[in-house]
Amino acid sequence: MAAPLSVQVEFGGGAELLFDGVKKHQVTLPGQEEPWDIRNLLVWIKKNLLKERPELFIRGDSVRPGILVLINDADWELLEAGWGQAAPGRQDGSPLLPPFLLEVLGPQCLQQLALGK
Amino acid sequence: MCEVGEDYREPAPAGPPPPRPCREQKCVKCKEGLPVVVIRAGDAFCRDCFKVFYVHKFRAVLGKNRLVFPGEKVLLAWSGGPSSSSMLWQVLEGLSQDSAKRLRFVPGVVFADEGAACGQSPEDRAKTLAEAKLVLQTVGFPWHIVALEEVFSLPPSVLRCSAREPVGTEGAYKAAVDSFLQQHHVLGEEKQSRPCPQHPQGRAGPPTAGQTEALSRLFNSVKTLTAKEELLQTLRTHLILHVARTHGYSKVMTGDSCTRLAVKLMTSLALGRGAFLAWDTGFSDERHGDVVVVRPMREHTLKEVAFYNRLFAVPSVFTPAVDTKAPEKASIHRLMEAFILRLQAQFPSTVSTVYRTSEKLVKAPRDGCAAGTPGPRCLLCMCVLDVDTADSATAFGAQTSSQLPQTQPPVAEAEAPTVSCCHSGMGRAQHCCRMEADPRACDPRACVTAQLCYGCRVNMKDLVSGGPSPAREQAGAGLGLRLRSPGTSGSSLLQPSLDPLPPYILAEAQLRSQRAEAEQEIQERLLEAEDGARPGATSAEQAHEDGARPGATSAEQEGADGL
Repeated sequence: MAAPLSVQVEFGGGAELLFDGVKKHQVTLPGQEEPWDIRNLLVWIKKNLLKERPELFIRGDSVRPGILVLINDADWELLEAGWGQAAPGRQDGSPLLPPFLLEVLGPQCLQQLALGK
Repeated sequence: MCEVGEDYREPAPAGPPPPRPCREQKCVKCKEGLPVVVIRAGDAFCRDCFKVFYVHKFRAVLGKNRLVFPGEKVLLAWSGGPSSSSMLWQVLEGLSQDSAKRLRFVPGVVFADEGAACGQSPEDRAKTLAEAKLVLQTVGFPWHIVALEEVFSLPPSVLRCSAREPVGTEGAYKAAVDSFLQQHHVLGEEKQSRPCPQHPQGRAGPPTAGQTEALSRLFNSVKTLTAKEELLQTLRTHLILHVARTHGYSKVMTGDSCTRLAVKLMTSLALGRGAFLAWDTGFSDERHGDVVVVRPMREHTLKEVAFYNRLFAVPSVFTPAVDTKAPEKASIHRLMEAFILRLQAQFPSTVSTVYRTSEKLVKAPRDGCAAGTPGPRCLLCMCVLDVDTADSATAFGAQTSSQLPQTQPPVAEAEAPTVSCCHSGMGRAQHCCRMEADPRACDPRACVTAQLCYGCRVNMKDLVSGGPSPAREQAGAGLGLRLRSPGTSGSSLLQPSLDPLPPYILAEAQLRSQRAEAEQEIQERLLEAEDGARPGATSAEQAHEDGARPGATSAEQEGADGL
């Protein structure tokens, strides 16, 4: 049983267009059976924060290719590769602990080609 | 992919720790810092090493190519997006470094306001402009804000390739740097402060409502998103070129990143621009002659750019584009982008492989062209024409003959000689609409199309859609250019119209076709004169003929210059 978790989510680089233009969201994830992890968080964001065009944000279990995700100012791919230090304050065995900042950058896909942006 | 929790649910190991990725890894470079970003496939860098890596790449690209001479005026094309903002910031930081490593050119910034093409409301445009101005003032270089509507007041000379001074050799570059450094020492440090007096150039004034409407009409008349994007690119290039020429900039730097160029390469192939890949995606693009377009960000992936901007607070302005929020299959550009990005997610070396392939492309002159005499250039993209009229097996041949059934009967007469009479190679490509009768009776659309490369022709098909005749007349009058249209009044409702195009394109097209016709006429008259002399030619007449040739050439030249 996971306790409610307070998370700050920021969108930038065009991603905010899908969230009514609001860049910063302070959310409180409700308590639930399973511990919160990134996948659950994304699903929750899609259900509760996303205002339009889910296919431009989520693809399957993860974000659409081209979208960058930072967790506490570090690349989330560090987590995937097992570089656990990316989320300081985390302890062995528990997925997410506050303070937690999820930042979604991009999608660069929404921006234009050529004469580079 | 992102089950963060699951790696860490193992029970405490009884024996030696299992060989899972170690949590205590450090930056691969300095082995000390906390990694913040993963570059390429699996290299984690800490913040400081990442910054060094990023800046070094930028300087290395500029230094390796040795095209930007010290003291040269360089125009930075800033769109507000991450890559060009990053480029701007790199230049800013590079100019303020200590003298040994300092960048040595004189920058200016141009920002093109494209809100009208993207359907933005005037309030949103004003807001974007205000944000842009803030950033420009922070950066401090001389800046120019231009609205895309200004394409309607461009002169036709923007489409002409000006002769340029020959590019310096290696020795010339070194000599230039040395002399610059010498001057620097003589004049002293203080005088060589950042070369940017705080004189923002500003803009000529907001575009008129009429121009905005004309631009909207132009973009609304385009049938496909692909053609819209290509048109926007073309117009933007012309506009920036014009700004550069007007203010004396000899180089333009654009912020195309590695990812964008990889997508652009594939997109260009799909659009039929394979002949020009080296110019479209290479480091330097000299097609305009006097102004060279340079791409210093071409080795930075979008991910690196985005992370750098985020970590080091590089300001940027988000501007929506024509394809913002468009679905994946809305245009070729979007499709290619989705394809490459998706592939990149699974195979992280995709973008770099495409990039390395593009590095190998060589700019070779077209076969058959005499060395030093480039063939005719495309009206819109200004690359050397790649169409071969003699080859009816190519797509060009198919395209030309496909124009016949679609056009009205009077126009078909003009088109028919195209396929049959233009044998002798590229030079004739512009003469296809010549008729024995009044040369102005040729279809203006065919005149323009004949002067385009294959890729631009394909776009032009989508560009020029039909419109009701009275509005077309008004538009023609409003733009100050009247074109004779061959269609009868009954069928003109569906007649494809060139009127929405900016006048400089139409004017230049007309000029070129008139010039081509005049040259053709002169050639034919000379041939007639020679034919008249031919029967019973003696050696004396032969000599006369030969003597006539050089004279003929100069007469031709005079005729051509007289236009």
